[in-house]
Amino acid sequence: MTDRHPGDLLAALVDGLLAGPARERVLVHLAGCPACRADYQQQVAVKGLLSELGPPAAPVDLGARLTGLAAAVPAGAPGRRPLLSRLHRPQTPRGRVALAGAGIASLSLLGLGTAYAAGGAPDGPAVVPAVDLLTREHAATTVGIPMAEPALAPLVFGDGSVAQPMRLGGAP
Amino acid sequence: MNRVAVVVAAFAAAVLLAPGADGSVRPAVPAAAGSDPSAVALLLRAVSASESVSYRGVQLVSGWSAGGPVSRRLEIEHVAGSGLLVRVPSTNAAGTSASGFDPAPADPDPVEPARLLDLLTRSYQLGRAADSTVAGRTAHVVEARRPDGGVAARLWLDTENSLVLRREMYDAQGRTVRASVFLMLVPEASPHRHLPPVVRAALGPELADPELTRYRATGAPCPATLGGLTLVDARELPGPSGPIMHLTYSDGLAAVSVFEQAGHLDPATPGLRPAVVGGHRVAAGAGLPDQIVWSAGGQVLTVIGDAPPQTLAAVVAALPHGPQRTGLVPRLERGSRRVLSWLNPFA
Repeated sequence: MTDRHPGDLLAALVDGLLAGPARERVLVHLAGCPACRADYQQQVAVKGLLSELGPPAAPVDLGARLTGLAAAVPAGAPGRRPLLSRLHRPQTPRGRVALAGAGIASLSLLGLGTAYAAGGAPDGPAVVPAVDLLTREHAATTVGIPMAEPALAPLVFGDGSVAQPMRLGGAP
Repeated sequence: MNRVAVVVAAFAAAVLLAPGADGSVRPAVPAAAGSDPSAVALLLRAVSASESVSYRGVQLVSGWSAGGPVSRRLEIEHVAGSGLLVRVPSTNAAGTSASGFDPAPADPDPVEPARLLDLLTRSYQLGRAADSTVAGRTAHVVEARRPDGGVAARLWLDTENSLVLRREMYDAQGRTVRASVFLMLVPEASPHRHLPPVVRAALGPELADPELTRYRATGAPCPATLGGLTLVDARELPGPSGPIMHLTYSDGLAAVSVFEQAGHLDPATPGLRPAVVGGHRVAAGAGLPDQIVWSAGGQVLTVIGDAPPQTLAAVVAALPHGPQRTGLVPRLERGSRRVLSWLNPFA
């Protein structure tokens, strides 16, 4: 593990989704890999920023302004738009631009936050390919091809260990 | 060994044994221009012999895998119609031997012989070389040459029973990249020993063109050609986390399987070590055939092949790869893709 970067598992660790031996392996790797440690710290910092945003707080004078508006509007006045619609629509061009900008910023932040949360875990389940079985499948399918080898894997000794090929020296 | 014979036999049978209108034996498919008909006939007999001749012997198999050069010394016993018993003597710490049984396949020709013949004769020119001697037995020598004249493979066929005594595969520079040779071979007219009961392995269902088209539409890699090899077989296997797509590519001489399954490679997968193949970082097994694994785009890809290293590297390079991307931007990209897929699952 120390010579293999954890990749997507780092994001899972940041999100607290990693447990057991996998978590231990990532932590051991972080202890010896400054690059991954820096990456981890960056992700933790970003996650902290996003979680601190929270919902926007209402102005302290909102109640008073609502009461004042209600008092200023004559009862049953014709052609009046709903109260909330008027509240959210600035009466000056500058105010409209500011409101539009704030809206775009809020949506962007919401999108980024959603993408960040959705992108935390690696794609799909963790897979341990059954290489020996796939090798047999390969051999069975390529039975008619001249240079295909017999399905020699797995060759298992009586004590359960698997036969390893002999290593040869030199380059081809 | 038996695979070799079956290989050759498959195409040779299709070519040479189809009876003519007058009852004579003549090729049903003409051999490639320049191919020696007698070489094709020898290969045909070798294919038949691999299934019909019982024998025991000691074979040395070696090759150049992603992890470096590897070799195995095997004790082989073949009983016609039953299968192949293989022992690897004394290669573990305890000094005991390992054994494996390779039963006769349920489907003797998973890939159409005519298809292999077509690929082989389109890619190579078959011819003969001077007879030679292997393990004290005389042998006919058949060569497969590339269009540039270089020898791609050479087979030594027993003059008495047509068994493949030796085979070698060469790269474009003429270096031997894979070889097997019998150090000792004893044909047995009536084998006294019984192999384990035959349990014929069933292959996954073969996929038809419409199913492949639908699979390609999902964005999964399923090209018609890959690294100079042609797609000759496609099957679907059951897997623990969903179906596994098995694609087989060949040029009639070498073969590479590509297995694709949803998910990401567990870094704790045993038996694999980091390697670089085709310019990409992958995980590789130690042994023959070559075993190369990596994940990209939400899929785990496993490439298993009996092919020269250059061909294998081209296959690996032609498949999708995703660098080990960590950090904020890759996470946002991954999350954006997922959100979009939630909004439009048919995209």
